Amino acid sequence: MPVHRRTYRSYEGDIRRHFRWAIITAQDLRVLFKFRIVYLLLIVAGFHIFFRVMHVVSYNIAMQDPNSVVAMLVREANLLAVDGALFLGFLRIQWLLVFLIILFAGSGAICNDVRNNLIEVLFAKPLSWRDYALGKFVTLAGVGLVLTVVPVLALILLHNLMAPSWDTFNESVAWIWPSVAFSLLYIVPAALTVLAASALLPQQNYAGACVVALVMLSGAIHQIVSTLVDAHHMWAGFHALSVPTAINHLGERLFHEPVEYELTAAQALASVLVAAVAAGAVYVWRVRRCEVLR
Amino acid sequence: MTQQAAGGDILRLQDVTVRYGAFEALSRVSFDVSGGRVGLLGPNGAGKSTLIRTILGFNRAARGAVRVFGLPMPQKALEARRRLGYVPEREAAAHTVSGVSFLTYMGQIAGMSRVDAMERGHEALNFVGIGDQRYRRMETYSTGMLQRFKMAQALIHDPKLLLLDEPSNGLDPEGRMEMLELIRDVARLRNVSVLLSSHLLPDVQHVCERIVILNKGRLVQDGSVEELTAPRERQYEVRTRDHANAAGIPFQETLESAGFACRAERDGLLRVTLPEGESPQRLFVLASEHGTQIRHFAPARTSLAEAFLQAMGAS
Repeated sequence: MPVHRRTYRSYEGDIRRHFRWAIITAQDLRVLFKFRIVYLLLIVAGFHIFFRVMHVVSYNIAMQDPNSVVAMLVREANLLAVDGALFLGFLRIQWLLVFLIILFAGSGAICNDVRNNLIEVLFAKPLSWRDYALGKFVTLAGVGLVLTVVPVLALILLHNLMAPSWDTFNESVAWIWPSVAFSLLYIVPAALTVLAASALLPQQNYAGACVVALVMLSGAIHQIVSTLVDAHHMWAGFHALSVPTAINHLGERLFHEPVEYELTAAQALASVLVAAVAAGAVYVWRVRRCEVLR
Repeated sequence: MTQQAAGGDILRLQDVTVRYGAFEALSRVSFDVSGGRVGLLGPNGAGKSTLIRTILGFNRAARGAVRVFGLPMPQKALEARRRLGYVPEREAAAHTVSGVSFLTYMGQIAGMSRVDAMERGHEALNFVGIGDQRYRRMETYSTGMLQRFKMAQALIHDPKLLLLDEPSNGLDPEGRMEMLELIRDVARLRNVSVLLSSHLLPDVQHVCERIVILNKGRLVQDGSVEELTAPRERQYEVRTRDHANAAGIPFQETLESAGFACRAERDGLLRVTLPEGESPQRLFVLASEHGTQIRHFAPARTSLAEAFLQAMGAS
């Protein structure tokens, strides 16, 4: 005789109707951290952050006595300076690791759900395509921002703690918004492109390879076009054909660093926006079709 | 008062046509479901899965209207899906996570808090009989376990209508019977309405009270199992003590010479159709004259297979 009746209770608890995207994000992060490669990339990113922390600490220790020989050397050589170039350089290197994580996490985000038939099960629940798409995007953008903006804020805080003054504060606060903007300029188009590839292609490997090929192709086209442009002194706006070049250019302008190409900010921004909007449109179109087929 | 209470219907399809490009997958299908267990029968490619996907709001009807709990689909799909449970035909699994972890996720998607979802995840897995496998990664689940898991995820949010698309696919005979019993239990114990799609007649007959038959996207038959397998007029099942009399003449021959239409079936059973104006008593008289005894006499019922084939033939 069974010791209990085989049944389940009716659900009478509260039903949440908002922020379902956060559930998608949380689950994606849980799944992401089951892979060792993610930890490996995070460790490498952590080393880089540690190196920059040492940089800021060394600079501030050296500058404690501005009249010392070490301080004079640092000022003259301009090697350890904590300035816009430090943050731009930090974000450029950090971006490579972030791109790898976004590529790994995002290339399977949609196609694996489609291949494992999970998307049908998910949309059979009260989940809209908006929540699903936003949840997936926030996962990638969140990971990217945590590895770029958060360390920048930590470095700024450290710099202020080690050299507390109104001047240091004013100077370093001005690096926050360029850092956030530059991170977003990289992360948003990359996340949308990876998600669009994942939504378009049937397998994670294909999606990853497709994004890498796009980046390489963009770089190759840029090299060819820039050779022609420079040789014939043609319109420099052609440099905006390469989205990574356009993003780098915007970064240089945001941090008031010398620019490599004669592009206007509007041309560079247009290039990034076109890429992001195109990728976003493909992504939204594909995800939407998964919920309701027209 | 909700629209459901006002209309009295859980599901209403009116003149529904669904197209995939130029191909018409469903053509002017109309039927209502007010409760109970309804079987959706049809050969492969009849439009059963399309119909279920249309009910879920995944497909937009090119023509006609679909209402689930009084809500138009797919416009109010999110609201309707709160009360719908769906067991898809194909395997659905998140390979890298455990069964209970994935069910918790499903519960949260349905709107529950994480604690409630986890609690119900455990209950649902126990209910479908794989509670002891809850912490295993789903990639290690067998086909039978995955089928049960699909049922658990469909039940996690306490649905009022369960849509099952070929739920016994890929199961061994024992597993199939267990799955069918599980579906009956869900409907009986939880008062959940069931729409079971299958091309396997015994599955549908085992579970359902009412059957809707589709063929080439058209509804060709809709009725209760009782109606579809109703006794046939002037047709009886007869079994005699002896196959032939002392002279070696089979009873079938005697009947046929008296103008009765006969068909031999399994285990010496004869299906006899009476001529116009003839009464069943005449069979007993003929048996007596033939020198045998009738040991089984019952009005002949149409089998579900016959009803299905008739519907297919008529369409």
